[in-house]
Amino acid sequence: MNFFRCTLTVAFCAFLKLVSSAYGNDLPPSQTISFSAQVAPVLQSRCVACHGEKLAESDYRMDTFAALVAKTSDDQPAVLENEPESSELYQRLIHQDEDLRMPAESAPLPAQEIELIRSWIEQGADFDGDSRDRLLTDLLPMLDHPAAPTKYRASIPISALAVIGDENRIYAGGYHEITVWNTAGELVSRIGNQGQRTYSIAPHPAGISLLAASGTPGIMGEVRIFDVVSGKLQAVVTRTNEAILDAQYSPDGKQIAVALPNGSIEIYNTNTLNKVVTLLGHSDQVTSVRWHTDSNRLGTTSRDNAAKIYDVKTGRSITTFAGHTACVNCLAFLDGNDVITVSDDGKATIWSSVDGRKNRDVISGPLPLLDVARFDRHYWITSTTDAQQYEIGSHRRIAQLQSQGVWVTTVARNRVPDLRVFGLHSGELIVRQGDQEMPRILARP
Amino acid sequence: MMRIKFLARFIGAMSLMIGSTSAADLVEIQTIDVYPNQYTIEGSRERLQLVVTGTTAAGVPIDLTSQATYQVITPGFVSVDSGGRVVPTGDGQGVIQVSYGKRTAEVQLSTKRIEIPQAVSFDFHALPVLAQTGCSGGSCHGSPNGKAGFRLSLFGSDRELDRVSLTRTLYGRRINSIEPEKSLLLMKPVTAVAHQGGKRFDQSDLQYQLLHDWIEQGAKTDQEETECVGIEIFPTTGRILTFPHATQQLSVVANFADGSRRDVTHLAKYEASDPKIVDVNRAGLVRGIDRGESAIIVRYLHHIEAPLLTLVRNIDGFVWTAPSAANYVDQHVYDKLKQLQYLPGERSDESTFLRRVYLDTIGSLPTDEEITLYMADQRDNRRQHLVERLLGRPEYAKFWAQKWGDLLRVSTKLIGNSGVHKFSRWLESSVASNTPYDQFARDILLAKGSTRQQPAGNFFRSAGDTSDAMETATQVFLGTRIQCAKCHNHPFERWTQSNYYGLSSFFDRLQRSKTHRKDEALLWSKTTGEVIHPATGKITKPWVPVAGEIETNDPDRRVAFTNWLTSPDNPLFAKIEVNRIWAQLHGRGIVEPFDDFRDSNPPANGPLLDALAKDFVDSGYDRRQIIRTILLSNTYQATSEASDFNASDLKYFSHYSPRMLTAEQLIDALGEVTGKPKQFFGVPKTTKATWIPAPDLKPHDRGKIGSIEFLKVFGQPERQSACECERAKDVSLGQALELLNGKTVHDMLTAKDNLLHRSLADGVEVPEVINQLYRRALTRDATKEELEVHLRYIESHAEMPKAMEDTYWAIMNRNEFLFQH
Repeated sequence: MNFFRCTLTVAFCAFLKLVSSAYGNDLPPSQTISFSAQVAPVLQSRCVACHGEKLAESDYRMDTFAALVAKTSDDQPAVLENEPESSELYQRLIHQDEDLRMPAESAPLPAQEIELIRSWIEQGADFDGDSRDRLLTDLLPMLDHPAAPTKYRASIPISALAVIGDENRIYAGGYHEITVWNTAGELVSRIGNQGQRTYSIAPHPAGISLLAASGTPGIMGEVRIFDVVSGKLQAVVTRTNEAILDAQYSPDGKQIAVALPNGSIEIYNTNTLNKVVTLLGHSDQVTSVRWHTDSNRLGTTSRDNAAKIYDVKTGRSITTFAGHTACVNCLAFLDGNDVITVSDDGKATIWSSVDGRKNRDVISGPLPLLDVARFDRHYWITSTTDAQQYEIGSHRRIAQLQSQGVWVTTVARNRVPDLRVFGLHSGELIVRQGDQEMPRILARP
Repeated sequence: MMRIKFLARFIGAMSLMIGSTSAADLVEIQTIDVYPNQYTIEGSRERLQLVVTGTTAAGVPIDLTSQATYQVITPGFVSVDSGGRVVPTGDGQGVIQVSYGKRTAEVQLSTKRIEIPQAVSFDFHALPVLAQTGCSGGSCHGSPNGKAGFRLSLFGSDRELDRVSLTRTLYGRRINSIEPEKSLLLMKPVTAVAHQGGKRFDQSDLQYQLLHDWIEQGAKTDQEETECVGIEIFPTTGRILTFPHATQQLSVVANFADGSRRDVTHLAKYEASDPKIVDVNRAGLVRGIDRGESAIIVRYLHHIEAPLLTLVRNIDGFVWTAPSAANYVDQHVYDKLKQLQYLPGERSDESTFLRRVYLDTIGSLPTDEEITLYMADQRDNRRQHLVERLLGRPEYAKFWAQKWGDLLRVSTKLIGNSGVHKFSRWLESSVASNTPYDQFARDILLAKGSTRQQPAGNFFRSAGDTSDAMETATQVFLGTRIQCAKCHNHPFERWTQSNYYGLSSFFDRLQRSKTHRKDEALLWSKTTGEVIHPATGKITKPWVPVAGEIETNDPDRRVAFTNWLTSPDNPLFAKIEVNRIWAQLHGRGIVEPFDDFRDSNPPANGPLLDALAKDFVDSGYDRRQIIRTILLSNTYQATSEASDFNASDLKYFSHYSPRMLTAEQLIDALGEVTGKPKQFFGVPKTTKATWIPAPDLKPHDRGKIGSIEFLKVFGQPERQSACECERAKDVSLGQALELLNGKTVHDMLTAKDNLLHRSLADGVEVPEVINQLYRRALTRDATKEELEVHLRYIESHAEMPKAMEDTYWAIMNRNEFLFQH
């Protein structure tokens, strides 16, 4: 079983281990050194910035174990088992010549980190992970995220939003946490131990748990499951090296779709947390995933300017819509085969999920459109200046919410009663019940 | 011997190095001056760069900014570092004393509003930092599609785009308002996280501090109340630096609409026009590398200045000697060479000159008889007589008309067969009759009515729409590649998008109506019509460089443009043409590339260009006069052989630079040498390649001229672009193959009725046949040694005619044949 797809118990054990070892550097040298738990964190934080997938200085990558020990251009492996003195990896850390010493243009590593790497090589440079080709980020022990600040020095844009339960609790993406508010604007509770920014919050259809996609831009991304009531961490679904923008339960609750930064979509079994299938086809970051009510078709949007419909059972793409000219931000299934997508190109376009043919533009203007969400017989589209409500079928505009030039980043609602919440770039929330607009809430602890 | 020479050079280099470390101390400085000597620093983030200049007894200025010592006389309001950078520490006023040796100077300073923290400005701080550090450069995030999903406008030219990218996209992904130091915008450029663009600055740098504080203050993007109206650079253009005193600190001060001035030396972006001559760092400190000239292109916001620096080095053993100048060309070239310590090359010998001047004027090699005739001329000024004769020949007009055909894109694809013939005949006759160049330009740019009656009007058929006509006209007559500004402000130059559409408005009303006849258009002007700026949606007024917006009453706005263009007050018009002529004759422009005039591409010899332009204007735009002046200068007639004292000069015309014959010249030369000239479709039988009116003449469904592989391989342009760069000048493997065993060369060599075989059949002696070959191919007799080598080869060979073919082939592969030298 993979370390991350662990149950509550295992996760708890991992916590204990983490607490006892931090990054493991204070272990007595006599003990066997773990590559995954001790060496990989050092390499990830100190080396991979310049020796990774995007930038591979001297054509040398260190972002997987396989790459780390592969032969370099001199036809010499950088790591020679049991021989740190002959291993370039170690030599480069202690080189007398500043131009040759790593990390380049920086101070040398702390002595205990260098010693850790030396000892690990001396002990045989063993690999203790499950796959040599896995990214180091994926090998690292489960992170305990930094605590959220008690008080924020500034507000942050609302990047994720959900309204849950009879009490209309509003869950908003915070800083290393999810903040929970009531409609009166009071902070009810805080769910910590989250990635730096939370990009989606999705309640399980049965209301038992909460799925949150999060991450630190440019560094890591994660999908975690929390208990709705207690806010306790239940499991980590997956982790990668860039923020994850969306993760959604299927309407039957059996599967989880994860929108990955590398352009793929992964489907997990909710019970086992095993990966069921990987959906390929997008060439850039996936921005949203939306399930059809049949719990089989999945709509996706991407920064590659395309939107797709997949058949999850077969793992195949059914349709691609290529009518947008900029990043597609979100999608919603409407009636029949109609799908609507909104894009930075200023268009909200309805097209057919069967053949990808365009039906009509509901909006075509100069302003980027950010989010779209279907609520019963109508749908909302948010933009950089407002949010607009349209009727399904006639596509007539029936309501508008002005935001005075502030980006309306996202919209959510609770099923009963009919309550809608809009998240703004300014960190504010606007709550609307029926036609009534309540005082704005600044979601900033 | 070699070793001694090397050792001497080595010691020379060593002493130079030692010299440079302590050099400033060795020079007696008479006075020192500080720039500025009076200044007010207003705002806690503002800085001031001082520039200290010493003057020697000989009146030579030397930059002492980093050698001088600085003392703050009135304590507690500023601090100064050893590089002359002033940082305000409190409100106050006082004096900084600057000293160097016994010399001192003072700066009167006051500081205001230092104790209240100054907000970081999005426009005046953050965007310039992103430009300066390369983030918003054309090859990084400033490219039209951005990089790695992050797009900025080119050098901050579109603040709205940058505002959205930096603070809004993906929920403000790049800005961390809670922990600013963890912002992607800071972690990427210091490579705390993977960054394909590498390290741009350090955490300790001012650039980092500004971006960090901007984020910490809430990443505000409020519009500033004032705007920057221009920048001033000190020292101004023309400063001469002599090694070892080859460093120069620059000062850049920005002027704002509200009357305020701010030192932006630390925020400006610097680039050397010639990085082989100088290196300039982010702090505006210039370091000399080699002797020569380079402009420093300084950019702050959309303002650009490009002061010129001259670097001079004393060369061991250099003693200036030069023949007396033949005309003003030599005077200016010699002035520059003397300053830079290069010696002009000696006069070329007669046969070299003869071959060179034939190729440059009429495009072909002198015949055997012409060589004899010239060599027999005993007059002192026989070179002058020769030039006169050549400039009067019809081939001169045909050859130079072809160059214009390239520029004006005369091709059947664009103007049809009859259009090509009419237009190129018109070009030829304008060269033959030496039409004044201003008239020539007017005839083209103001053509109206039927293009059959007004062949020059075909220009507007080749350039078939407003953008094309404007771009081609600016490229050809203003030496400006303005295309970039169609979609965005020019990345390196002062050209803006408004300029582009302002220029377009002159050509926008012109209409091209079809007639019932093929290859004909009726040119006429509408009386109304305005160009709309695509970004602002507003009408763009007619605009020209230097003069700015111009009013015009004539509804055909081309008249206003052409009047401005051909006015003697427009310095560019004459300069571009004399530079083009110079480039045709020297293989390299005084401004190079010769159709790319811009601040950041200064002329190699400004006074020379000015003098030629003045002569051109004074002579009534007499092109033949300029050609004659250049051809009769010692500079043109200098040998191409480099000496110890000019070998490293490739730019200042100390010696003639050899260049390969053009595709057309080469195929003609091969034809003349073998006596089997290549024949082309669609033109009279004796037409030379250098006279062909268009590369794509294609009569009767036969192959196009341009599809002759040989011509294409050697770089004949297809005339798709008005850019001179379309003529490929690279040496390629394909060329080597064509010459070694290409069909063109093979057919010419083996034809039984070629000169070689006819001579042999006529019983001409082998040595004589070889010598004839030398004269036709190389414009000289074979030397005794060369003759012996050839004869030895031929004797060793069973088949004499085959061996002779080999000999021909060997000579046609010699650089002496393939190059004009």
